[in-house]
Amino acid sequence: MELLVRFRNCTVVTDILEKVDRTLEFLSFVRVYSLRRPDLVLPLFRVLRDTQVETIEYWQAIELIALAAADVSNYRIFNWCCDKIKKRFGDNWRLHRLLGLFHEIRLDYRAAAAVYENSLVKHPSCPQLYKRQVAILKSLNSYEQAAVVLCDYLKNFMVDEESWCELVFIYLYLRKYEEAAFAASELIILNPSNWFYFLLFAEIQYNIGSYESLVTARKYCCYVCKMQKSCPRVFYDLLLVCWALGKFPQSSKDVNRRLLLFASKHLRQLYKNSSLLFAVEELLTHSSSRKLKYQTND
Amino acid sequence: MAAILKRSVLTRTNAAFLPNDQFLCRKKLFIDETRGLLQQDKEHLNNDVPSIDKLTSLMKPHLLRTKVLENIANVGPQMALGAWIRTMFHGYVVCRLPFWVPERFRSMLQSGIEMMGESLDIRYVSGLSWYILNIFGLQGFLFLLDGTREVEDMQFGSLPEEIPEMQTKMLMKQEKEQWKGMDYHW
Repeated sequence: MELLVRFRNCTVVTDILEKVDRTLEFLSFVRVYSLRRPDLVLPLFRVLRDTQVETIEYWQAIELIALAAADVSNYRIFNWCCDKIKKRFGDNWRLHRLLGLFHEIRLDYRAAAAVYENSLVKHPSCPQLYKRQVAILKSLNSYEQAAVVLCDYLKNFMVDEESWCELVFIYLYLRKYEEAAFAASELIILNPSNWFYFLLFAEIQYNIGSYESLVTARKYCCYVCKMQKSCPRVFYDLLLVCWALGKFPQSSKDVNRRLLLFASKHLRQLYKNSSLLFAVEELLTHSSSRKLKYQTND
Repeated sequence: MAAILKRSVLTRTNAAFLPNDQFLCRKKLFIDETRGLLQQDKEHLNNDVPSIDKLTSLMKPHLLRTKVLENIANVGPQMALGAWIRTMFHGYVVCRLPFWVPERFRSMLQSGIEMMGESLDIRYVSGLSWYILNIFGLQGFLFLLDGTREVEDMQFGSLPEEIPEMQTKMLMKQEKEQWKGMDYHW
């Protein structure tokens, strides 16, 4: 809603200079929040077409308009924007990225890959181009190759959190849990204040399924419970881990029982005013009956 | 190298969040004797690529001799030419400046014709002074024309660029020591 209000503010004003200012502000907003709205961006093209403002917001807006034009296959506007950028800045990696994205949108991955490879020869220290190569490989379902390319990239750009996160999900897709655990622990190192990374690591350890990994998963779930008390996923993961640990005779039954009670209590509290409370009760009843089965088997 | 250092520092700082096997894996990744990431400085020196620091080269006489001979080869002809100019143009006045010049510039503009005393107008320039002014004053202009520059003092001029590389190597060595002496608790 706010987006439409901002868009309307750009169109109603009559003064040219104010119109340009509001347009640039709106397009900055779209860019910052990574919104993909060619229907709102392209009508503002004619406001910027006839102006020449030498500010960084102007050129970022031109880049955004080029992307919006590529989205709707408007080659005229796309070529106009690329020519303008080329005249001002010459041949640079951002222009190559635009061209590559244009080919990607048309599903011509081979041409896009060629553009990125040629650009990387001239600009080898550009992370965005490597990431686009990985994105192309993922689009072609070559996840193994995407993992290889991403690992090569991470050998040089070791502290790129976003890339490590991407690597985790690629390994999870490939069912390579040990490698995914390594990448998830790297995320924890880079940003230990983000509780989600701990939860992700715990879930991966749970999926590995050995006794040691389940004990690790339980420890991490407990740590996340301390950090984040309002997320049901955390307590549900703790339930799952304690259930799984219950199958191992060497695990501490007392600790498992106490953690199960703790997780159940918090889940009931979180869902107490929700219509899904019955589902939670059924889940917990089912878990307690399984617990009784394990206890009788002992 | 900076990325390796940053990752190493972050890993050491946040190692308490890692389980034992993950920590040991990373410790080996960084300080393994043959392939550790922090061992890359040793691999660099073993290569055939000549990456000897300029500061280190100044401390080795046999390398310093090469540099000094190079400098003599560059500066020698300049000095010989200067001596020839001094003998050839001694006592000659070459040109007259079209603008007024303060009296304190007399020794700079009239070197070689001091015997004339102060009766000569300060605007007259002697041959030797004109030669020196052109040699040092037109360097920038000549650089614009042909794009090359004499590298007589490049050795000393590039020292500040090499020192950060040395600092990185020292930091990596310190980082390795920190890993070895690290106390880990999960």
